Amino acid sequence: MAFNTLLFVGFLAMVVVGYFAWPRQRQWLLAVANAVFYGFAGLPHLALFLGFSWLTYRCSRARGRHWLWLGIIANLINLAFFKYLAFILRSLTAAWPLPSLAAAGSWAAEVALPIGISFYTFQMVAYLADVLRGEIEPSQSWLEFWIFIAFFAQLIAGPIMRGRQLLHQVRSVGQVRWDPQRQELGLMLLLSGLAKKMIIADTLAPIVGRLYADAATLSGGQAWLAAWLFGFQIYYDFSAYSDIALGIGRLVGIRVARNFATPYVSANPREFWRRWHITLSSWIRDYIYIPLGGSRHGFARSLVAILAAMALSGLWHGANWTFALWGVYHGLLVVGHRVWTRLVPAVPKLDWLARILMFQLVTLGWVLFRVTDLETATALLTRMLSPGSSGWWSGVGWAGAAACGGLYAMHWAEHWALGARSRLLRLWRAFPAIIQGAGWAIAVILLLAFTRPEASSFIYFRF
Amino acid sequence: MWLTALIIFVAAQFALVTAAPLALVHHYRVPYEIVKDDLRNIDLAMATVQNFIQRQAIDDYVIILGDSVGYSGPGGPEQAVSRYLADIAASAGGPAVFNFSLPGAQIGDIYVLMLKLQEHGLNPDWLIINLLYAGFVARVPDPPPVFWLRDELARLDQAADLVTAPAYPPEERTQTAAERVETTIIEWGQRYIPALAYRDYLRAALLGPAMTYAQAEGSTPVPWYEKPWLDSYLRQPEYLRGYDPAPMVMDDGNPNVFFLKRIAAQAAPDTHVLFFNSPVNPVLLADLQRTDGYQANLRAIDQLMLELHRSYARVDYVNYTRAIADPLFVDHLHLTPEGYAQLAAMLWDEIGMVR
Repeated sequence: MAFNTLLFVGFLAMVVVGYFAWPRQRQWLLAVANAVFYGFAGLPHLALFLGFSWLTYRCSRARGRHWLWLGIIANLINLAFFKYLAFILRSLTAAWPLPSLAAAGSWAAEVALPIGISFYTFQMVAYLADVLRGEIEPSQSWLEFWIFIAFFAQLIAGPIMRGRQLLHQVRSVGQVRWDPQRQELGLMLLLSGLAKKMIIADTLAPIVGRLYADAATLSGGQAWLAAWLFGFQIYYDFSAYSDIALGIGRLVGIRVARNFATPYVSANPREFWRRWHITLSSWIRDYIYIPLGGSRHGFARSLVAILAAMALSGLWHGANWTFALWGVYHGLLVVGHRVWTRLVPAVPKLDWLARILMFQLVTLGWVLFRVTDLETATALLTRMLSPGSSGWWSGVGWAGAAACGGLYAMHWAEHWALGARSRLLRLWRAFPAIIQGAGWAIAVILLLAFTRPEASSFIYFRF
Repeated sequence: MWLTALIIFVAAQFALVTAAPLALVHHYRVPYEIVKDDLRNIDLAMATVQNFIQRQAIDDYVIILGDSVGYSGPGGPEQAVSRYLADIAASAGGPAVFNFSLPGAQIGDIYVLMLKLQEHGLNPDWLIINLLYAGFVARVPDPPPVFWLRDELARLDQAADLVTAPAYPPEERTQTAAERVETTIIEWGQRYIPALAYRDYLRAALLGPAMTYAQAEGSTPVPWYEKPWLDSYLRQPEYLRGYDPAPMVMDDGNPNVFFLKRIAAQAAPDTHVLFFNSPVNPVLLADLQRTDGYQANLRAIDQLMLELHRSYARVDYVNYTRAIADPLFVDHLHLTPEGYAQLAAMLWDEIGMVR
């Protein structure tokens, strides 16, 4: 069930009404809501998810660390089977003269990826690892664990919540009181997320699609335009989901972690990863980078750990070498930045220049993320980085450039608004009721106008 | 605050139903890109045009129905035959012009569109309908005689649907449970919430250029002689079939004949119906046009239309197949803006002769 559908709006309304009408039944209500929400993706996938959540719960409760390791390994095998089997077989048969095991039509190629599997697997692995490290107590009941692991607000595309962030909130849902100001904030976040998705990302999607469909003929300038627009499309798509998750959380009195903090204002790669998909970045840090040694074994080894962690982060996004390369590219940016700051500690302060440069470096990376083969990526990147070549500017209209400029300005405006959100909220609440009422009515009409005959999927659903 | 929001929301819905501007749904023609994705939008456009006609107390108007020629592809709405016809009419103090043509529309779709016009209370003084030679060629079995509005034909004229349907079983539509529920909710919502009903038009109005860019509509049409690949392209079997010189079956077994008779019989009593056989590129299709079979078929079409005229005085027909010079074509069939302007002038003359 996608957030940007009227079906979901009706579903959410029923959950919220039931939640506050029957406070003693909230855990059951959320548990059923989670199952219904995920069940729309298909009953076999729901059964798989229920099975692995039960297994994870049992492993976390069993005596002995080997059960926790078994749970982690089982979850990773589950993810590997559904997400990476065809990719592994394809790569093997490409490297060695083996019979093609993942050709189109073969059973391996036909394995359907359960929606949200990457997110819920990482959440379960984090939970087991935290229990293993003694950082959290195992969940007290399977009901509580199911609500934590399958909370419908963040199930399909994150944020990836940790046990210490969510479990205690699940235990105390019965104490949540109706708070008009919190509900209003929740609605604001929900509507702003829907607006990001339905008005901005879904408008950019066909334009970006059209540009990349003609990738072979794009000029260097057009390739930049396509990459910028895709950068904004993916940001507004993914951060929309996260805003909606935050909003739903507020509506039911559960705090969900923020996943985005206007990443395109970042001045360096480390800052970018503190602003982009924040919960994945921290997951990679805590469960890959630090176990690989982190910074405990010297500078050089830490750089290797960064590269390995970022490559895995890239592969988490999709079973394709382009994603791995995207991860490695970002790893190299982080490594390069660390080496640079170590060699040149006193860099002249040109903050705005660094931010613009960083945005362009991130944009180059989006080419690897968007295309599906290395040949196209190489051709586009070569054209983008050859501004002296003839015809480089051809096909770049002022409208496309203005759109990119406008979207970047909007991103900065969001950055400012996030910083000033308390003041803005006070200002909004100081307006007369008629202005506020008109604002809500216009927002709802706008969103109704942007519903589609068939709801578009969120980009990160495929991960 | 919430009560205020509700009142404003309801008021906006009321305003949308009673005072939606014509330009929202019809700018010289109904926007194909919006209608093709959700055919219910054609009803909304008709309802809004009817509302506009009532508000403006218009009692003299022309409606164009047809396929991509009537729609005036590949140019934008400002380059459509309906725009040029509206300009001529306006300068002569003549009728308003509306265009409900849809690219890809077959004769059955045009018949359904006519019935829908009547359903919405739109009874124009003139109904102009473009015909194609290809429409009379045997369908084997494609294209189906009703391409867009099959469901609506079954609703509006079950008898006609029963005659034409057996050869064209409906497509299987597979929807997930979520999609079925979503469709039901949206259909319900569109009945009672105008903002939802008008959503595609509102979105297009709000997005404007971004949407046009995404859909690649409205690009400047290039004449056919600047497309060296076109000649060989048009010699592919799927195009040649449309100009098949084999003798046409000109009885009711031919869906075009069947629906033409139905249109003539069921057009509103006070509506003049002008059919025109669309111009074809005299150079690009010269080989075909020279064949005896093609000429005989054209004469058979003329004869059929003459018989229809004799049976129904309000039905007129004009054959424009050789009426426009080749430089005004963008391909074998579609015209440049100048070509559509000339077509509009010719149509105006026809209307004027009878007016």
